[in-house]
Amino acid sequence: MKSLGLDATERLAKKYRLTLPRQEFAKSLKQALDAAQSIGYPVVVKLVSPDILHKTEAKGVITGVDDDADLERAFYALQKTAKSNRAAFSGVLVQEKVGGVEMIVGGKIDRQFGPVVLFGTGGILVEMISDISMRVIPITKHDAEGMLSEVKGRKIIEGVRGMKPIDKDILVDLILKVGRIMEREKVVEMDLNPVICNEKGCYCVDMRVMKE
Amino acid sequence: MKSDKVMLFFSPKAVAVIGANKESNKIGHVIFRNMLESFKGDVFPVNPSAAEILGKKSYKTVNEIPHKVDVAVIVVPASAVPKVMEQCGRKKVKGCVIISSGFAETGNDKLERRVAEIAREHKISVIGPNCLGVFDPYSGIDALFLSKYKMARPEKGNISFITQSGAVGASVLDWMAYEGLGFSKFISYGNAMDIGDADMLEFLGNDQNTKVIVMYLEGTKDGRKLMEVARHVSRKKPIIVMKSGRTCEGTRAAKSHTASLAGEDLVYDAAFRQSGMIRADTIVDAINYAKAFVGQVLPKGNRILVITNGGGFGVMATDAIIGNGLCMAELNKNNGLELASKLPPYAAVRNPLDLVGDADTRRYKHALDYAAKDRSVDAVLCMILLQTVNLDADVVEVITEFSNLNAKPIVVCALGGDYTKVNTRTLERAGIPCYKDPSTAARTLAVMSNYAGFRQKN
Repeated sequence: MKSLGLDATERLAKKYRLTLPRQEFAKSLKQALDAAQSIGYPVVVKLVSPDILHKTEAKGVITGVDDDADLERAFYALQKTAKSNRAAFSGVLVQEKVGGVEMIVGGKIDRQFGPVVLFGTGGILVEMISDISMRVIPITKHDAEGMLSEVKGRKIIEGVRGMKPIDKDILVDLILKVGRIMEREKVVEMDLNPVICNEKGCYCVDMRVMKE
Repeated sequence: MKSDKVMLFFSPKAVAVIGANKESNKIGHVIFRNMLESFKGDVFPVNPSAAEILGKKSYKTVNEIPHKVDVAVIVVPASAVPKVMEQCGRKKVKGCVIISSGFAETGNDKLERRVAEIAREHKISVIGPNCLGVFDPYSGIDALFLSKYKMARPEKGNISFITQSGAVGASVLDWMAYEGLGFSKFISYGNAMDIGDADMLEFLGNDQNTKVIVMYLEGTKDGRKLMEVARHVSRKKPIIVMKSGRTCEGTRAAKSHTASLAGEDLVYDAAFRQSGMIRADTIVDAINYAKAFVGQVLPKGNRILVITNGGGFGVMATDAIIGNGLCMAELNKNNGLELASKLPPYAAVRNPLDLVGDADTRRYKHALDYAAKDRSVDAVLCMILLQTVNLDADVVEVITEFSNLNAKPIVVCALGGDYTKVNTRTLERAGIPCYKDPSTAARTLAVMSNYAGFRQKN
């Protein structure tokens, strides 16, 4: 099983019209500073390495980068992270910082039932809270809506504590798209995690796609 | 159709028991005796070293039997099964129940494949190997290898049970017989060499005597096919499924969060849900649900009326109803006033409807008449504390009358000792499910209401 690279992942996202945050890949600090300039601060900076699958766990994600000085520190810190993980350093991904609630949408091939799609709340905390819902695909819009109503975090989707409710239709659509990708693209496992959702949309902040 | 392949096991004219035995402690003896005692057609023992068994002439091979044989029950050591199957093939036997173990379940895949080939070659349908057998009180087929004095047989009824585990099957069957729940078909299918879960579901879906299907599953060989058949059958009758093996470690190698979260059991859970199957977490719950489905009509909605003669139980029932996602029915004002006029002033005409500790059968009658009439009530959770001074056994009759209207489902909650048990037994024989605690009763109503929702949508 191998993980799709950055380019191939972006192509797949484009084909299925998944919304990514504005992002640019940078090999050098100079490129990173230019990228941040065109995206606009604050940004998130992520380590790009073919050897690292779970960026958060490897301390490969630095959030709250507010200016050039922050970015310089972040760039060198990520270089160091790569070294300490004995991983190749390809560069960094400079990404627009999106606010909202973290969700996960994913898919895998089950041994007995074939492709399945998963939705859950909690983003990077998902494995701790395990607040998920699942379906064997193909699924209908009605199924996807059912998935949203099955998780404990459904109240977050409706909007809590002064937060605006997130756009449900876009989230339902995203689940259906992942279902289609699982059906058509010979994908073995995939994670959109976290997907950051707010009233405007659902942003696939991190996308991991595994093929045979 | 594969479902016809299952049918032939329940409608044979003649059955051979290959490996029938003279000695009463051998399973070949027990099966032959059971068949002889209850099967209405012909039964032939096959054993090369016996002249006769239980007064019946024994044959050296199935081929020596001078009559046509439709089904053979095979109880010989695993290594002898291929030879016996060849003989059955020559005899044109249509179906074999292979009780014998020592096949794939012990790692002997090769032997199982060989038997499967022989079966295919001779077009023999196979149940098993490594199974407890089949049972059908309608045709009198009793190919179970457990004696009747240790494991009672349920009477004719409308619940069917298919099980991957013989042990689970045996204990459930015995217990259902004890509880007075009637049966249609029982199939223990073991290794599912030929006939599998989906084939049996399809068959039971078409079986007139089966109203409720209960299933014990450890795994399936073809998940998509199971879903497809289950989705179809669920539109006609409820399928209650117990699936064990929740704690599978098959997800360790996963590289994504999704794969590590989406353990095997969760996928099963999703598949069951999508095909309208009802998952029971325990054996006890499976029976709890089955007896409600078999005896009661489906509710048209989720609004429950609670009737009680004890305040505490009313409060617990309310909690359980809300906790299970159901609603407390709101009483219609006019009907409520009419009911109030028939009850003493200290009775609380609201929901829960508290008939108070001195309630007698007449008060229950008024309350149930009201429940039958009021359109805001979809189902009734009726609590009877039979320990009280004024409530006598004839309350059973008014509850039965309500149930016999077949308009709205009723479940009873009664907790107590011997006196209570005598009465709940009478109720259950009349098709009214009884539970010891309000939470089980409410959970059962929730399961019925969810299933009714599936049926309305599909």
